[in-house]
Amino acid sequence: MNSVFFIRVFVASIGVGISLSLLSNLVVLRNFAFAGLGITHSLLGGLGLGFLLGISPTVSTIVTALRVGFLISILTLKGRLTEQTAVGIIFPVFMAGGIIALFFADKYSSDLLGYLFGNPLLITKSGLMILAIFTVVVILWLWAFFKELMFMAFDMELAKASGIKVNLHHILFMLILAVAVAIASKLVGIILVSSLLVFPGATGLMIASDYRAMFLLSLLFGLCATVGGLYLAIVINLPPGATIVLLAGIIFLIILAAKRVLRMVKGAA
Amino acid sequence: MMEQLISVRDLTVRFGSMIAIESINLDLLEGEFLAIVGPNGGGKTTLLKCILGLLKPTYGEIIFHSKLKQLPVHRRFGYLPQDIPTEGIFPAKAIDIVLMAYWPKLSPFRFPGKREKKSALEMLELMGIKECAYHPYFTLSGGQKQRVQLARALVLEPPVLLLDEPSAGIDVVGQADFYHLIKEMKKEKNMSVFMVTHDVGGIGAFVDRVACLQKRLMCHGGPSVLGDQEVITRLYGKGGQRLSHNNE
Repeated sequence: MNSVFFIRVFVASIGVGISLSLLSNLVVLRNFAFAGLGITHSLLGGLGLGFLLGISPTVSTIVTALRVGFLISILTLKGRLTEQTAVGIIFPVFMAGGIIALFFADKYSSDLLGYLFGNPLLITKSGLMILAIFTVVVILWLWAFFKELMFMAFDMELAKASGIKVNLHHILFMLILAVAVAIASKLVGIILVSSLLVFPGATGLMIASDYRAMFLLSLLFGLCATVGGLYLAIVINLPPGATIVLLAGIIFLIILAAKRVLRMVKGAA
Repeated sequence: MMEQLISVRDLTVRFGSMIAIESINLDLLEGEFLAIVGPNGGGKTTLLKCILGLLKPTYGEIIFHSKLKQLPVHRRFGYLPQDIPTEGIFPAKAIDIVLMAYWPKLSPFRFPGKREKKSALEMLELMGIKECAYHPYFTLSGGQKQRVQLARALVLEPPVLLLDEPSAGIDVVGQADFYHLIKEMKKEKNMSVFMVTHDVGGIGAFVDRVACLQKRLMCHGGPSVLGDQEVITRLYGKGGQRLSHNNE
């Protein structure tokens, strides 16, 4: 492995860290963790289809993610199903479809394991370009519609009554969330990527004074987890996806413990 | 002569086979404080949501005066919902909640500036809670949270204030203070108030007109209808008690 490869994967870890950390704030504030988990597991359907039809798994997982994101939005916006129920219906169906497709593809390759558990070797030059463009899109989208997204996170009905196009913003959020996990799954893996949609936001929320601080803190914690986790994985020779997620969990626990100790010290004083 | 700001005409809302409200005809006049009273499940919130455009009526229509029509949705009404978020994880200060009123009118990439912050602080001062401006919203008391929400609803100086069960979760003294505040704001800002409530106990002294809703509009008139035992019995059943009030 050469230095170009290392630069490529570290840049990818920065892209994944930025996009997933920013999105994790919305996931946490809107209580969408289960949707994130559901979308990531549904990607197995796209992966299976990709292997079966011999098309790029990147393309098939992104297309599947878009379909899943759209389906969850539509089912929940009609008001007939809660988001939890919609995800609970969609993700097992897509996952089962993926398992059957993989059975017929008869191709349990190392690539498949890479997509499931994360493998930096899967990050190609074009994949990095897609990730970079997507990260810029996420930043611009959040910057442009930050007010609307925060209003919806505070109170959906009040946002609607105030004239915010909540349905449009909800569908856009679900689609961006879906694409984010599809792209990030190469580095972290389908099985574990949803945790990066929770840890940075949840860690930031614990100590943030307001939502702006929460976004900045989540970015810091998310980047520490992705870049630091990848570095540790390379140095100690561990699976990168699992190391990144474990580090994100350790950061969460450290902040939680520090907050409790500070509270105890304040209480004693 | 006071003009009709909102005219509800033959309004019917059905959810499947269930009738929520039926054949409602009602006007909100410019500068008046109108209270819609009735029992829980009588269709009050449904009527309010139709006015806000959150629900589509099955039949009938709501006609807005040109003064309202010319305004964008977020400037037509100040809305204080029944279920104001009282518990939650959203990390925001009280002033952030008031500033939310400006968010729908700002174009993408733009955020409230110094002028908006000054107006938000002034509104919190009018509500008597300026000292809470930079406190986390969810650490405030129920009454303070409601005043923050009222400040948000009023900061754009809307021509109509819509209140959905505003006395819920506030003690009796707090309720009287709240209605006094609304009456003062109404006078100061020259706005109309449309309030729905099931609690008729302490509103007589503050409202100009009362309409009684139990799926259909049963009666309407001055606040004195709240003292009519027959009206109260028709609305709330035999358990309803006649209410004395002082219409100052």
